[in-house]
Amino acid sequence: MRAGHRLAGVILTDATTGTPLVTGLLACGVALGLGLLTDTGGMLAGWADPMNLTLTAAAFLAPVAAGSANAHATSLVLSGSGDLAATSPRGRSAAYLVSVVSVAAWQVAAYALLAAVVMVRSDSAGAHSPAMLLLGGSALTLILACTGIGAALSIVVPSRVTAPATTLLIFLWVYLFSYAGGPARLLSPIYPEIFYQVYLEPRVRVVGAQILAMAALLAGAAAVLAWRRTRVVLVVVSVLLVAGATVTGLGAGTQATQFRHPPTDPPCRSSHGVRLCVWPESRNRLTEGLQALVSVRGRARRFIELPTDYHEPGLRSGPDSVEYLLPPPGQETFLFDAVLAATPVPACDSSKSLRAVDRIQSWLMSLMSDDATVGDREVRRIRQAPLQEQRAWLADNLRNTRACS
Amino acid sequence: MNTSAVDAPHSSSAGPSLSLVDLSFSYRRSARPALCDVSARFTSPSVAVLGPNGAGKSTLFRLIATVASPSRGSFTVRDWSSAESGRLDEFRAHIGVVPQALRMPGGYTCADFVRYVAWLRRVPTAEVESRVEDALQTVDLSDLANTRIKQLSGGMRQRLTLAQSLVAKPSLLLLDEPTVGLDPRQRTEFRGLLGRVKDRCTVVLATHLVDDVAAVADEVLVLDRGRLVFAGTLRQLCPDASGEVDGRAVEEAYLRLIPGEGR
Repeated sequence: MRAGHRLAGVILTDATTGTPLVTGLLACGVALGLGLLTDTGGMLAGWADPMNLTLTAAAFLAPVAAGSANAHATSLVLSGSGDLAATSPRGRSAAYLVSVVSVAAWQVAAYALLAAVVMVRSDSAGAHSPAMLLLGGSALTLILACTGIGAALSIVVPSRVTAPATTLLIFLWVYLFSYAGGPARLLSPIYPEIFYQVYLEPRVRVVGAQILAMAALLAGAAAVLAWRRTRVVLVVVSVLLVAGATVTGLGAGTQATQFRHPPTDPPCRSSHGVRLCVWPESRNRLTEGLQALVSVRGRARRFIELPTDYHEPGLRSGPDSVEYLLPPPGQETFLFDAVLAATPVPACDSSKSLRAVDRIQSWLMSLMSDDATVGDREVRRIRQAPLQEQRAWLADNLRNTRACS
Repeated sequence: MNTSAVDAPHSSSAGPSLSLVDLSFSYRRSARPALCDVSARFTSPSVAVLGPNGAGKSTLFRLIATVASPSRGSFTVRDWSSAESGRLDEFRAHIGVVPQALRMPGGYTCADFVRYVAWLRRVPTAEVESRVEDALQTVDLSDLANTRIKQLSGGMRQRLTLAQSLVAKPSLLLLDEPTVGLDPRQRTEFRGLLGRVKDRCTVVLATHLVDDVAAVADEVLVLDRGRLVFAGTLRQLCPDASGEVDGRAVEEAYLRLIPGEGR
């Protein structure tokens, strides 16, 4: 216990001086700025969106952590302090431990600050699930792995230019791969493009694999710091390859999101023959959503028979029930989204089928907006045509939505 | 190697303080060995390792400091032999090291840095504060215990590097070119400190400054290109010197041993 206190004291001294202090305060400033300036108004209630925001922000914190750890560990090498530690019973690795932990403590504190500010500014009254917390775990592991990688690089390339180079490379890795396509996309753990609707949560398999891979990187970096051997560096490179292959293998072909576990008795309401079921978190928008669907069905009824049973994605539903994506909070586009929901789904990717769906949708938009200029020439023409001709045109297109040959 | 032995004044009758047996070391990418079959036995409390650049002084220093392991042969310090790796931590806990050009973290206070080294050397928790105080007092830095290192002069910093090496009450103190970079006054002061310290433990001093040798060492090891050129007492090195051996006498003897250095 007393030995633990002494180690804590040594780390505290190191963390409150020099590089760890300067870069730690910088990271906390960046975290506070990101937390306060980021718009949280458009985020949905619950943990997923705020947690995802903090994960995205970690793309800015992790490179700082890597550069800081590298600069601090490099100074250990270049100043001779590392050699001095090597003559002691605790050894050189103890000196690295102190320097890495003192940097990591600040970076973790910066992330905690960011997460606290974002959570306070967000509406966390909505959905919560352990899977959503994985995003926070992913951000923390990213920061810690980058800290370890930065420190380990100081042994491989002990130079003053390694720190800025490491910062840049880590940022490019995290940021660029987040916009990559295919399996390479999974090499970045951040998801700036994902907007967590109430029915979504992170896919445990994908995010979990990424956390494991980053933990493997951290372990590899720790091995390099502990043993400082070329052979260890080769092992770590192998770990890198295996970690990358694991992530891409486990996550290949899957989305980074999954549906939450659906409630057994979701809120449902019916009106004018139309029924809508939503997630409990969308209960307060059930009426507006239903009214929009009733309105679309009512106005289109003379021309085309539209579905009568709707549900938010992810809920258990009957075979004829159609998905209805309620607009996000702050966007009152219920009618537009009702049109999208009521439009038939193409049976396949054939151009004929897709064109038919597109035409029906344009026709519905035109109908609901009372604007005869909406749609292409064909749609504009048919909207001026007599009732019977419009019915025939719609029936024809409805048939074509199933034309897959 | 226990604490009371470390505290006790050094006695030459206690057996060899340092002995080297066929000590050799080669760097991986170098064709020529950095040290080649060096054997010597010293009984006095202070040994100077003298030689030109590339002689193998720093290599010998690194071997005795256990940063590197001999390619062949072994060395013994008091009752510890490099051949018995099982007691390495115990040996390391009782050595003090003053590396060449150590740059200490400027944000630390003097006491912080000595405390940090005490932690590295596993000084018992209960003794840390008194040891830190003692070490700083020995080098006359007690008044500056809470001063940040970046505020110290070059001479003060070098005294602090000596203080950190004393915190574990070492039985062996290794110094690598400790007076390089100091002005003449600071050098004289530092040599005075070493004179005080060598009563407490065995001092091994790697240097190319003959004045350091004359002021501090009782025995001398001269190396040239990794090979032993001379091992013996200061008086044996300078048999013609009358009275106390000074720097000039050491220099003359050294140039006789390694004539190329005088050119």
